[in-house]
Amino acid sequence: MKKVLMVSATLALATFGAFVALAQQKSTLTVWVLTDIAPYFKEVAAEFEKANPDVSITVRDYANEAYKTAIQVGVASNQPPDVFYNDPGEASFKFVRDGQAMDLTAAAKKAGWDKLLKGTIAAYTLDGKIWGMPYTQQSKYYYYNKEIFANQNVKIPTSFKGLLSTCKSLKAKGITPISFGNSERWPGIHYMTILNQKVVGDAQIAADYSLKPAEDKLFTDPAYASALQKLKDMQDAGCFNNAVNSVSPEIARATFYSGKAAMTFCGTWCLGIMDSNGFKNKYGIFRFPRIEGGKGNQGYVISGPTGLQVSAKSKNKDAATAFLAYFSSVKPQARLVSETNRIPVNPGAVKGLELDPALAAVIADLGKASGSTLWLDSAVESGISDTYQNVIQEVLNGTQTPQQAMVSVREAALVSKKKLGR
Amino acid sequence: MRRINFRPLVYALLVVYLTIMLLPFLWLLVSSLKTTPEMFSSPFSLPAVLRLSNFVEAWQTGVAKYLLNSLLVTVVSVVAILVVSGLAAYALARSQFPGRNGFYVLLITGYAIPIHTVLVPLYEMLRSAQALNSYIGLIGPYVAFGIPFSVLLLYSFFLDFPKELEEAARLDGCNELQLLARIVAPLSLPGLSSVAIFQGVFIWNEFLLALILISDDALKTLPFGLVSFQGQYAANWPLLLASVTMATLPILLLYVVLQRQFVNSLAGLGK
Amino acid sequence: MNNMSQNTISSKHRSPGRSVHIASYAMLAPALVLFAIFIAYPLSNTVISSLFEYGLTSPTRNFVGLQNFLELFGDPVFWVSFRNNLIILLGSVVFQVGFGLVLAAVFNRGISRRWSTLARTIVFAPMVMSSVAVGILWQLVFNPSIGALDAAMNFVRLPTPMLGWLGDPNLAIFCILLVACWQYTGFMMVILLAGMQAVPNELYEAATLDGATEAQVFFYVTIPAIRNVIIASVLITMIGSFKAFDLVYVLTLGGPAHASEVLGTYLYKNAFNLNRMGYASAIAVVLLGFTVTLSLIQLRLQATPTRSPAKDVV
Repeated sequence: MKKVLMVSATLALATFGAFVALAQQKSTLTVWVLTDIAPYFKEVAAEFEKANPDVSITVRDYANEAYKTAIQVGVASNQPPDVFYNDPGEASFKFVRDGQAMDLTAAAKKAGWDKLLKGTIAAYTLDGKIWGMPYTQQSKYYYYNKEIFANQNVKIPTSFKGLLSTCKSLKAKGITPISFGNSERWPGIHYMTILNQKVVGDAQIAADYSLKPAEDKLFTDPAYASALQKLKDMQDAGCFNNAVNSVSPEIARATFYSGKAAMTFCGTWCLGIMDSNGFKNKYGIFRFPRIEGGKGNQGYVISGPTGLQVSAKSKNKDAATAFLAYFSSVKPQARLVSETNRIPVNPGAVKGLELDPALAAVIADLGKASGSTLWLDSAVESGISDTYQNVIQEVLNGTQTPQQAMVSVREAALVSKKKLGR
Repeated sequence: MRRINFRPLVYALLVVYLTIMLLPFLWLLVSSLKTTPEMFSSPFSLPAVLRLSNFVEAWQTGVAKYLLNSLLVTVVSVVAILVVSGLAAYALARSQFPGRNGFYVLLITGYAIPIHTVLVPLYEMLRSAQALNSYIGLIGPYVAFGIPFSVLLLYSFFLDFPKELEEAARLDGCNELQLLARIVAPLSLPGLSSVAIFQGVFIWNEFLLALILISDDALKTLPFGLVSFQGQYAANWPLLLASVTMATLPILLLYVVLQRQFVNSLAGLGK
Repeated sequence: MNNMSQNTISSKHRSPGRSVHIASYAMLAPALVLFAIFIAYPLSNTVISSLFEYGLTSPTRNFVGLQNFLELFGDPVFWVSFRNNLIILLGSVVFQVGFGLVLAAVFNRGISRRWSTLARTIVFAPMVMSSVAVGILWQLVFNPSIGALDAAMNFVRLPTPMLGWLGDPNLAIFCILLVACWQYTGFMMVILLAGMQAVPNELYEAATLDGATEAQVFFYVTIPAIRNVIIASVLITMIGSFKAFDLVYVLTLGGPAHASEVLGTYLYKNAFNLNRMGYASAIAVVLLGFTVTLSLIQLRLQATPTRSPAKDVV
C-alpha cells in the first residue's frame, strides 16, 4: 500500500513537473490590429490556440487615427507587437528600411502565398523579398441608396460628367448627393488615388510615386493639378455636403446609412458597417466612373491589400509565421467573408459560400477591372502623403488652387527623394 | 452726484454668462441618454426613453478600467509629490546651507519647462529602461513635473509658519524627523491640501504623456481612454458622451463637496 | 535674486551646524534627484537631439548641426503654429484674465453670498474637467450636422460658416480659443477673487466715503491692491498657452491643413507620426526658449521690494 502511494505520488509529481515545463515553453504572441476587425481576429486567434496549445495570443486593438502613433511607438519600443496590421507599400517599407520588419520570404514559400489573390503579395514586396502577409483585398466604391435613386428616377452614372449632372439634379431636389467627411484627411487622398490614376495616367504616376524621375521632372505633369481640379469640380457641382473638412468619415457614413444622403464613396470595409447598422440590401454599389479625356486606363479600379507584418525583434518568430500561415488558410478566410463581409485573399475561401449581394457585386466587378491602382497614401513616402492630404483639404476649402497645391506636393517629393537617396 | 444703478445690468449679464457656461453640461447629460438615431434626427429634444444602458455599456467597455488606472496613478503621484516637495520646501524655507538659493531657483525654474520639450528624450529614456507601458513610467515624470509648482506653494506656506512652535518642540527634545511628522505636517494641512488638489486635478486630466508612454489598453488613464473611445465610437455619440459624463462626474462631485478647499488652495497661488 | 539674498539674512535665526546641513541636503535630495532624472537630463538630451536627424524606428542617427533650426525658421507651418500660440496667448490673457477680473469684482462686491457660491461653482466647474472631455463635448457643439452652435445660429437667423466651425482655416483656432476660455476663465476668476478678498476692507470703505463709484473703486483700489496676483495670473496663462495641446489634438488635430496647428501638436506630429525626432527636438528647444523668456520677463516685472520673494515669483 505504502509503495503504491509512493509511486502515485511520484507519478503525480512527474506529471505536474511536465505541466510546468509545458507552461514554460508556451510562447505568447501579441497581435495589434484595428478596432473594427478585432472581434474577427480574436476568434481566429482562439481557433489557432486550440490547434496549437503551446501558443497563446493577445489581440490588442486601436482606432484608426490612434493606431498611426501607437504602431510607430510600439514597433520602436522594447516590447514590440509580434504581429501587427500595416498598410502595404510605403507604410510597410518604412519599417523594412529601419530594420524593424521580419523577412517573410521563406515563410511565404512554405505557406504557398503565391496562390493568394494576384497583386496582393506584390504590394508587400520590396527588393524581391516579402515583408507582409495580406489577408484581405480592399477597394473603394460608390454606395448608393436604392430608394432615393428609384424615387428620384436617377440612373447609375457611367461617366464623370454623368456623376456631376446626377449631383446637380439631386442637389436641386434638396438631397445631399454624396456624404463626404474629410476631417481625418484620408478620405480625400482616397479620392485622389483614383482621380490621379484616371486623369494623369498609369505610367506617369508609377514613375512619380516611386520618385524615379530626375529632380526637374518630378511631379511636374500639369495633369496632377487637373486631377485635383476634378475633385473641386465635384464640390462646385454640389456633390458634397457642406463643411467637408469638419465632418468625420464616421459621421459621413452614418449620414448615408441613416438615409440622409444619396451616395457615399466608401471602402469595401464599409459593407460590414452598412449591414450592422440595418442597411443591408438597401444600397447598391458602382465603380468610380470613367473620366472623359483622362490619360489613364479608364477600366482601372482602386485596390490594395491589407496585411500583417512581423516585428524583426519578435522573440516568437516561428509561432508568428505559423499564425500567419494559418491566417491565410481557407477556413479563417471563409470566416472573414461570412463574418466581416470582406474580400478574402485566398481564392478558395469563397467556394460554396453564399455571398452578400453587395460583396458579390464588388468581387465580380473587381474581376472585370482591367487593372488596379494602389492607395495613393500607401504608394508614396509618408512625407509626400502628409503634404498631399493637407493640400487636398486646402483645395476643398478653397484656400489653395490645384496648381499651388501641386507646388507643395512637388516640394515634399523633392525632400523625400533626397532623403531616400533615389 | 447721481449714481446710475448698474446692478440689474450686471445681474442680467451674469445670468447670460452662467447659462452659456451651464448649457454644454446639460446638453452632455441629455444627449448621453439618447440613441444614436435620436441624436441625428432630433439633437435638442429630450430623450424619448432614458437610455441608461449607454452608461452600463460605457462602463463595461472600458470606463471602469480607465477610471481605476487614473485613480491609482493620481493617488500615488500626489502622495509622492507631497512628500518630496514638502521635504524640499521645508529645508529651503527653514535652514541655511551652502547652495540653498541656487537649489531654490533651479527647482522652481522647472515650472517654465513644458512637458512637450522633454517628450522625445523621455520616451527614449523610458524605452531603454523598459518602463514604457508601466504605471511607474507615468508616475515618475508626473511627480518630477509636479515638484516646481508644489515647492513654490509650500515654500511660501512654510515662510509664514510660526517659528515659535518649532522652537518649543525642539526645547521639548524633538528631533528633526519627529518635529516634521508631529508638528509641521499636521499644521501644514492647508498648504499640503492645496498642493494635493492642484496636482491631483492636473494629473487626473493629463493626456500628452499618457498618449506617448502608454499603448496597452489595460493601462490607459481616463483622458487617453476617452480619446480611444472617440476614435472607436465616432458615430456612436451617446455612448461616447456617456463615457465623458462618467469620466467627469467623480471629479465634479468631489469639487462640489470640497469647493471651499478648492478655492482656498487657489488663494495660496495668488498671495 | 535680490529678494533671495534679502530673505537669506532674515531667516538666519540660528547658527546652523554641519549635521543640520546634511539633514537639509537629505531633505532636498529626493526632489533634486527626480528633477535631474525626469527634467534636467531629458532636457539636455533634447538639446543634443536637435542637432541630429533620425526617426523613431530608425537604428542610426545623423549629425546635421544646426540644419534642423535653419529648416524650422524657413518652415511656414512652424510660423503658423507660432502665430496660433500667440493668438491663444493674447486671447487668453485678454479674456481669461481680463474677463476673470471683471467677474471676480462682481463676485467680490456685487452679489449676495448664497448666489455667489452657486455661480462660482458653475464658473469653475469646467476647470476640473479634463481637456479631452471638454474637447469631445465641444466637438459635438461645433459639429455641422448635429451641433448646437449651428442650431443656435439658425435660430437667431445668423449665417453659419460654409466650411464648418472647425473646418474653416480662419475660424478653427478661434474656436479652440473659445473653448479654452470656457474652460479656464473660472480658474482665473477664483485666483483673482481670492486676491481681492485679501484686500483690507478699510481701503474700500475709505474710497466709498470719498464718493468713488464702483468703477473707480475697481480701477483705483482693487487693481493696484492685487497687482501681483494679476501678474501671477498672466504668467500662468501665458506659459499655459505655450503648453496648449489637448484641446487642439481633440478638436482639430491641428487641421484643416495645419491651420490650427500649435507648437505642441506640430512637435508631436513630427516626432511620432512623421518620424522626425531631431526636427521635433528643435521645435522643443525653441518652445523652451519662449517659455523661459516669458518667465524671465515676468520675474522682472514682479520685483517689488515690499513682498516676500517666493510669493512674488508665483
